[in-house]
Amino acid sequence: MYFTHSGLRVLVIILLFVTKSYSQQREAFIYVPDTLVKSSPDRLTKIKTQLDADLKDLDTKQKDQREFISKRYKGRYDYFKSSIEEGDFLINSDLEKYLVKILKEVLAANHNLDPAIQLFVSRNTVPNAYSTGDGNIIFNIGLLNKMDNDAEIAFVMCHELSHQFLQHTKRKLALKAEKYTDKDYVKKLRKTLREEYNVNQKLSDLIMPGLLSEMQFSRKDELEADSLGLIFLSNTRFEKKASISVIEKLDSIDLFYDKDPLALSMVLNCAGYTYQARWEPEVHKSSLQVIEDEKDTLEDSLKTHPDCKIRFQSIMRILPQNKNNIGVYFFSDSAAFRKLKLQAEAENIHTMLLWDNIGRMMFYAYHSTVYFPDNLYSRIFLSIGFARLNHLQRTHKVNTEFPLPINDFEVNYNKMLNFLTNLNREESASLGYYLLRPVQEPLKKYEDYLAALAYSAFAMNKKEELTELIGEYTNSFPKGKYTQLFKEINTNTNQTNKK
Amino acid sequence: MKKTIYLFLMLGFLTWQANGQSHKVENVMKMSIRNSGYIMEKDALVGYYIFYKVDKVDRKTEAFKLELLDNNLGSVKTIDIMQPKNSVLLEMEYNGKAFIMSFFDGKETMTFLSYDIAGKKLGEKKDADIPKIEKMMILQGVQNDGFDYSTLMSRGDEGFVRQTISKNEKLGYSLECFKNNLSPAWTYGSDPKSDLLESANMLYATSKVVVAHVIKKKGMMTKKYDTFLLIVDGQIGKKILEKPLMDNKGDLSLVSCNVNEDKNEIIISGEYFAPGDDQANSKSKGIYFMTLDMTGKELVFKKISWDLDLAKMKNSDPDDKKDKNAANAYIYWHTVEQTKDGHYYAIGEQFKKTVSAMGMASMVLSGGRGGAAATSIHVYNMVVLEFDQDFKLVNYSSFEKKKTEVLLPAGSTAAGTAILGKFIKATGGFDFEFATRDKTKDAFYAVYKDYNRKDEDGKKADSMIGSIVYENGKLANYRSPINTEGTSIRFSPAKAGYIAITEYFKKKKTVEMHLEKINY
Repeated sequence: MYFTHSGLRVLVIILLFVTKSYSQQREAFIYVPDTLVKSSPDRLTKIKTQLDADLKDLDTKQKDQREFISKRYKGRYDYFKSSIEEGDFLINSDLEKYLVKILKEVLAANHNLDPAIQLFVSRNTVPNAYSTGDGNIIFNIGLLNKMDNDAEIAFVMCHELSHQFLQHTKRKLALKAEKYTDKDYVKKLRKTLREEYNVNQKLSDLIMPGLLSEMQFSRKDELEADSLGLIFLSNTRFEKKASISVIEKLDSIDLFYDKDPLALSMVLNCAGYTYQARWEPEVHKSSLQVIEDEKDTLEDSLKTHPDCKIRFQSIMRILPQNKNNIGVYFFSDSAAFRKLKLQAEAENIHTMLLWDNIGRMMFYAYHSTVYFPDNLYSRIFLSIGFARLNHLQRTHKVNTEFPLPINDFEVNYNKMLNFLTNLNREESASLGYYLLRPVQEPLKKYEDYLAALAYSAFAMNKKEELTELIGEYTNSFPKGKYTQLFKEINTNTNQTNKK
Repeated sequence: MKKTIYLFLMLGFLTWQANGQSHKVENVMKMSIRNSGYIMEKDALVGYYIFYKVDKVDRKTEAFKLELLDNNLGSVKTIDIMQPKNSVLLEMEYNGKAFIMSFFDGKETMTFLSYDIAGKKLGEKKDADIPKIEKMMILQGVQNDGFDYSTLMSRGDEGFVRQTISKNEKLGYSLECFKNNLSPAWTYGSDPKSDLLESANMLYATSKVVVAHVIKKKGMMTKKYDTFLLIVDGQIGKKILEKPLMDNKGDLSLVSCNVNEDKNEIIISGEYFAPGDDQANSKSKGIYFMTLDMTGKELVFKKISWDLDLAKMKNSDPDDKKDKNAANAYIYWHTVEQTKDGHYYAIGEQFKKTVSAMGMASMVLSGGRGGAAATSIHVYNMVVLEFDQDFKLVNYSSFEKKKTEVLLPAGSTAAGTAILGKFIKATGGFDFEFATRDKTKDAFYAVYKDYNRKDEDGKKADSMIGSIVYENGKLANYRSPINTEGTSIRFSPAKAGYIAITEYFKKKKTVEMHLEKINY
């Protein structure tokens, strides 16, 4: 939900919070993440079969080119294998099932596309989707939570399917192999490396023209995939204008979390613990941090994707203008899509927890709490984040899970990091604790909620409450995912008591 | 604040990894102090720089890169610089608008380069006429780790001032002021015909004034010397004042100098000595504060006696009685910080001369011909004296830390405590590392080493850092373990509330720099 006027946005945030407690009581959303799936023999076999076929196709190539390409093909297979084994794909999850339904609809409407194409939903929170060139499409959850309707998701898929259809990856790899196995080129590179003077400059002169031309091809491929993608989308019942809104989104996707001012007081003003004005984060930029490079023309030339304005104009030129033929935006209804977004938001948070990036986890949880006040899952993980921060403060290891602000991060994330790292131990413990108080008994049936209650009681050093909550947790979830954490807490507490 | 300059001497190819909060350099064959350091803008640390070689341009020239990092270690700019082969970066200073760097070509010439913050070169200046003694100092420093060559200061954002040795009848000093493009603004120096050896150490520079501590003596071997406070007009380079640092015929040492530009006041502080006593050989009587206006007119002179004023305060501090030796120790003052309520906090460290078994043994074994002195120094706790806006002592706090021992060189036994303090400081014997200020939050953070302490979980930590923190109007003390497996480790200033830690991993040949919060 985005607004053009920042004042209006603040007002809407306030209104969201006025109704928050009511909506929480009405229908609190607590996400229960699917069990981590770390194997998928069927899919891996399919990828392996494709790998073997692709390797066989290379028989006609020269030996060195064959080796160059086969190494990358095998690397691609290894990537899938290790990502599956590490649980980086949300295999068989509700999110995946939802996206597969959209993919199937697109494939069914476009008979020239390979129906065996596989979709993987990656835990990666970078907003991106890509075709790996071997009949697989990867859709990051970081892109999923930025989509506003099913038609937009369908267009992203159509774009990636076009890359596959037009064999862009295969062609790019063949060109690369030709270039990097060229005997004259390799000879020149070796000679340059042996030279005594200006080695870096000479290497750059040798490599840069090829790289620039490669990127130029890549940008051309993207425009082709946009055009063909729109044709594929036009064959479905989805609204074609979604292609335009996707491109517009991509243009400002880096500002996604900076569209509205950070309103921590809205989220962290708890009953029992009021938000302190002195916590209000400020980002003081020193004169060094505001150095702005002159526009780097080389950086522009090295972009793999064309400027969004060019993509927008290119799509507008071919967008059918038939006003009577309006497609649908949602696969079934907007409520189902909203649930998908909530799940995507929750998975963003969950993934950051799994990857020990607690700073990001709390940032995503804050964001989700603001825009989806009924998402109690995000509130639970804000509380867990504060308790974790308190633990890291005690062990002087805050920087292992909370980075310091840098220019590459979003402005709001930098502000949040400043706020978090400036809290003292008492404050982090109290925020974690009071975020979930008063306790809502019916919600104790949710493992994450009960665990967060206990973890925050531990940070606050509320021993009796902690013992009671750990007891409840152990009874309700004897093999729960927090069992080890509470064992460690019990050991620590016992040791402290003995002292 | 003196700068410590780090050098990463790198051989082979370099790879950099920067992700904010840590910066990693790989393929570092040897790490020694010099070609990197921190960048200050007025009182605030705004970033870091690292200077490294990337290419040979021709037989005589090499290509370098100067990488600028912000105060979170995020890379913000890289500047390409060509310099003669074997050039060494001596110093780098930043004034908010421009950088100045000084290089030495290893033989004769110093080159000064200035750049604006976008990396555009503003000026270049060469000095091929360096006095022999300065050249010796530079060469000695280049060859040895721990080299501290600090001769440049920012003059507001209008330019820079360089202090240098001048070839007078005897050796003298010169303060040279450049604009940001390195064109000369003014020069002030000692009298070329002076029959004294004169040297100056710049203490503070703004666009209004340049303040220096001047020492004059008759000959190189003479022990007796006189000290002066020199104030020069920052705009035109004209002398405003040269004031002997004496009170009632007793010496005044100089520890700290601050310029309050809002109030147009210069505040100096140090120790005072009894009439007839001098700082080289005697024990001081107490601490003093002096404020002057920009014309050099003395506004306030206040003395605080060790025996009368401080003793009363110490008696009321239970922590200070834990160790009698520490309680009776002398205090070396590292810095004085001022807070918004006008109070001053003098941060010091206790030390005391004591008989050294190791020193005695060394003296006996060398037949009394050299080695260590029979006495050594024990360095005890950190102390903070709080003075109100009228320089009245209002509070005394001591912060316990592990006792350390510093061996003294032979012949130093008779030296006064003020000189011994300076010796310990110069040889890195004190645990105090640095103090940083956050004017917006009205906070300061003083950081010191405190090895082999146990953290609160009872686990042994090899390295601990201690910090004295003034926040929200209160002083607090923290101890934090430094989690490191590095072969060597260095601490350096960071943005307020943090410490920068540089670790060298010999086996992995990597240098990692990261920031740690000090007050959890």
